[in-house]
Amino acid sequence: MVDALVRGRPRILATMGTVIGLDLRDPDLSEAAVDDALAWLTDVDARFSPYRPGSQISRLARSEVELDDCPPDVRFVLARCEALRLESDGYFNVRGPQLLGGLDPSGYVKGWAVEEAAFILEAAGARNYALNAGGDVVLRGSPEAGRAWVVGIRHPLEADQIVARLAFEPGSGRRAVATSGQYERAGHIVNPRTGQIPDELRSMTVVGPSLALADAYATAAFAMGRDGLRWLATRQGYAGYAIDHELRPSWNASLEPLLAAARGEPGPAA
Amino acid sequence: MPKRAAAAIVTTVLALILLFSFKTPAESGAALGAPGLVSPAPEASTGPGTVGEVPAGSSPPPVAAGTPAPGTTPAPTKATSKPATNGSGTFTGSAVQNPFGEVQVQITLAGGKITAVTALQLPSHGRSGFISQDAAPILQGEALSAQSASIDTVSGATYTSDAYTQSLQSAIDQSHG
Repeated sequence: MVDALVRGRPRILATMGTVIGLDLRDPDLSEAAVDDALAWLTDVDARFSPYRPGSQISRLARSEVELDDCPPDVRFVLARCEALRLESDGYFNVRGPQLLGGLDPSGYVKGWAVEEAAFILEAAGARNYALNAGGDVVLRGSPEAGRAWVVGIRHPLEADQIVARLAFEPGSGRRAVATSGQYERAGHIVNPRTGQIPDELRSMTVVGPSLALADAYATAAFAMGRDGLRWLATRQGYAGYAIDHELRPSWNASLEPLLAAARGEPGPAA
Repeated sequence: MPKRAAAAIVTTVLALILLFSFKTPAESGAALGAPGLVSPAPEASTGPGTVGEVPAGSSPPPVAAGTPAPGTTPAPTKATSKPATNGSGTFTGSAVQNPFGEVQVQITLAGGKITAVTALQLPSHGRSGFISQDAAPILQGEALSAQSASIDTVSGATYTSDAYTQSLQSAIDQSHG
């Protein structure tokens, strides 16, 4: 079940239908903490995946169990999903006939679970790491003293190219980068209001303090299309980088310091 | 008289730019040859942000001078001009809202012919609401390859376990090993 490969560093784990990689730069952190974090992700996959018939989410979708009988974290996740549905005016929606079993909270669960894994690492003392879960990233600190973590935004059509770079100041607090798009898994996002597959954008990348929120915001803003960046501008602490159907990039002005830093320009004092 | 003509031309150019800036997904998808991308049926293209959308599947209709682009409400075309003689000069049209913000078009006329059209991007509302836009698409050659760019990790739409082996992230992970 756990398909974990240990290659020194980074640690790679295949779970949640994707691959999770941990680039940990704290030399003294115990392997046990890393094991705990990765075991947590495997546990979340087993309990929350709509692709697993025995998961709590699947049983809930089949009405075999009531929400009140579910463990607290299942209730918490579904409550957060509902709050995000309201916050996004219905663009983030984990329920619907087009979704697997009518209930698929994966758009929140992955970001949330990976962020929780980061908390497990931090509780054990981790201060410098980049945890990448299938393209969604949570990072903190620096890869080496005085150097910034640099995150590339993938070209939506060319798997081996990036279109932009974001540099987080060395010693950065916990930051998250999440991207939604249709180029890897076509059709898994629909505009919940029209039932249509959104096609105004190729991808939407969201940066902010929480991966759980950045992931959900990226899903919602991608479904919103051209209006997504305007909506993100109203989310305190979050900013987006959109690539439209004609491959034209746009981004929120508050993202500019990270882009400028990656270009090596002295950014404006934030 | 030249001023009125210039105003009419500004309006036309503005309308055409708006029309062409909303190419239908079907057209542009085909042009780009996007692999594996699902586009909805042309007639089903609706949803938010349809301001100024060209009716899908049809080529933009010819626009008569002074006719607003469908679905948009260009402000009255009070073109401002530098002193113009004989249909020459620089003319700036009124600001028009497009989905990425306000756009204003400036044209340069020489001897009654358009010699330059410039879309001026205006900052949209609010401090944090600013949206920058590079008008030009990201061309393949302009994108940075993994080798030439120093990056630690890559953000992208979720890949499957199978697709990981082909991903940039996989290459980065292996380079660490």
